[in-house]
Amino acid sequence: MFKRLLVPVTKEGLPEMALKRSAELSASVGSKVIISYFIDDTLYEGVGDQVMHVLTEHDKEMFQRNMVRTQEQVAKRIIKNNVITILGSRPEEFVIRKGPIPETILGAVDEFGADALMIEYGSYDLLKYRVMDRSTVPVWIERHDRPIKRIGLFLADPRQSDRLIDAAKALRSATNASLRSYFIADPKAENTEEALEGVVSSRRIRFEQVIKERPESSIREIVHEKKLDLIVIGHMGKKGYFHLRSGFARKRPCSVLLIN
Amino acid sequence: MDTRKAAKYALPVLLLLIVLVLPRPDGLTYEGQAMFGVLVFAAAVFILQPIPLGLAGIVVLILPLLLGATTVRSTFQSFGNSAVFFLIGAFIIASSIERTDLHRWVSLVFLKAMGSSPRLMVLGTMISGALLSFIMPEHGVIILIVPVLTYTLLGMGIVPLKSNLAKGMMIGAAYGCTIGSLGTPLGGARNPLTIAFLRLEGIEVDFLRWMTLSLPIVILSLLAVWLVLILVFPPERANVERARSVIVDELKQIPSPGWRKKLIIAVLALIIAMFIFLPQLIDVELSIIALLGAVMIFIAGGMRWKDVEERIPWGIILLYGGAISMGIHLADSGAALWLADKVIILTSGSALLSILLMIILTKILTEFMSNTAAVSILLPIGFAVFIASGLPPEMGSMLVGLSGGLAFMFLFSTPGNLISYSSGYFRPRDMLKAGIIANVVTVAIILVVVYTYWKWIGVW
Repeated sequence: MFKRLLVPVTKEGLPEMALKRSAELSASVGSKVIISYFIDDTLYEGVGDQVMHVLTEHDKEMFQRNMVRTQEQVAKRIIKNNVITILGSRPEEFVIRKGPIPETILGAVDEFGADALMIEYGSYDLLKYRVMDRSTVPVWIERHDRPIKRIGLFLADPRQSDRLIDAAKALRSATNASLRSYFIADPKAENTEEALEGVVSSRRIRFEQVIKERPESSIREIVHEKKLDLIVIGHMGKKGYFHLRSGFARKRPCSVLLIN
Repeated sequence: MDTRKAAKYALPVLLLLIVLVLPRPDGLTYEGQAMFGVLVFAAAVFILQPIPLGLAGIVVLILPLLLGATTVRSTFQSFGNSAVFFLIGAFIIASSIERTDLHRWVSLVFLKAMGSSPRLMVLGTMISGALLSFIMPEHGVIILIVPVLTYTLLGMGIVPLKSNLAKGMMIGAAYGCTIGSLGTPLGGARNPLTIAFLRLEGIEVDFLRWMTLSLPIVILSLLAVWLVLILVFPPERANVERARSVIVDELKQIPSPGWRKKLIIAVLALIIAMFIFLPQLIDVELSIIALLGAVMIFIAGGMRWKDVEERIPWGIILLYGGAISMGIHLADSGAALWLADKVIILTSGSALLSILLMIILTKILTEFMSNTAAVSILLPIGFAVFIASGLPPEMGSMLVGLSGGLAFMFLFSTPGNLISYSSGYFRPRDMLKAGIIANVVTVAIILVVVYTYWKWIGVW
């Protein structure tokens, strides 16, 4: 994991924290960082169609073309230089891709063979389009620029245990952080104990706590109490995850590695 | 067809039928009543837009004929008005500007000159939009300058929707173009429409006269609306140095003009000089100068015929023809004068109330329909109301023509608002918030100018 890391950049500005973190990972685990500037050229399609039929097709096409070209120029002339300043060196790859978000971002993951996405919390574009919900590779949602010293692993679905535990352990060794593990029991499931024991015995892992109720607020409390810097978590359903993310924004800035 | 769409088609027809079957009031001829029906029909079509505006222009043109309110000769004579050709010439001249990079240069030079503070950057945006709208239609200007502003804002690292400076600049660009479009007859189709209507009534308003009447309103409105914007969206502290370096960098990217571009710019300057000074020297119509200018632009290589086919909004030309025809028939049928008599009862003959009524009515209408459509509906009414009030009719039509350009509140009010919005830097409610105040402020400015400067120069 983290051999090829894709950092998407949009017109919302530079994801400074995500870029810095990707540089750290590049240094610690040798990730190849691909920075891609995404231009949503569909935003300008049909501008003016809604009003009064005043604009000619030429007007509309020229506007769309100019808006896209403007963003390309900004990406090449300004964004790239700013990325170099943040990273302290030239990115291994800096590319521009055009198309609707998030389809183009997810397409770029395949195109570049990325095994993780690094996005920054607060990116309206990426949150709006729920890139993290649709990604087939793990998504790191960066929320702060502190070093990663304490990692929390929250396992809800035993079927995800291998991927989550492997990722958490890989990050622990890459960052020299401590790792705490928690099991989120499904109140509707009947064989929770069995599932828990199965994971414990097969992966030789010790869970500090089994969360049985209100998983979202419990996770928030643990993050706050244990001063976690990063949590590794599986997808808990769109609504569940959304609430969790909102909670982090309000209480304690903590990054999330979401593994679908 | 869904119910909503069917209602859009049915409502204008229903309104027309209602007006036609109502008992005819005393003093109103059948032709007048039929023209009121057409007026109500047109207003509904212009607002609901069940059909493209160009097609609406054709319907409005032939409807009086079908209702027996006018003759074939009169209908097509009014459509072939010289001002239609002014508009065609003006569009050709304006389209050549796109080829010169003049728009980028003007926008960036003003941003650079006023880049010492975020507040001044908003003003710089407005002034550059306004100046360009003096020589080309406002929607054409905004299409050209929004990408330039986007470049600057992206380069400054400003995040969409999170910056008051960006809101101020983007909304300011739209407002600047809107206000600037009042400055000369070239700013928007409604301006030559007003001139053409007045000419048909025997009143000549040339380029210089138009500018004499409009410029104080333009200058005061620009300053006042700028203040509104920086009060509603107090710009955050921005990295002015970074902005400056982005602007300087972008200015360097503009290729130095070759001889062809220089020639086009020189021809453009010559055409504007001809618009201003030629009517003072010889008896020549603005439409002749516009067509001559268009030919000069062709010879200078500023346009090819393919460009004309692509870039001229023929729908607007058709709307314009239909609108002017409707205006003439409203006046000729006596409908406008009949309505004016009723309005006088409402205003008790007060000059202030008549002026205020026309300004506010025009501004309300122009927020909900195309500027040109709103002006075409109200021109004959304003003209007649002012005659009935004992005020100079030129003033009534000019007030409609000028107020008709000032649409600030909604995205759909004018294409400039929507194009600026599509940059993604503000929300519709931001424009509504600023637009309500801008409307109040500009009504006050027009009123003050009319009561001071217009009186001083002898308009009334």
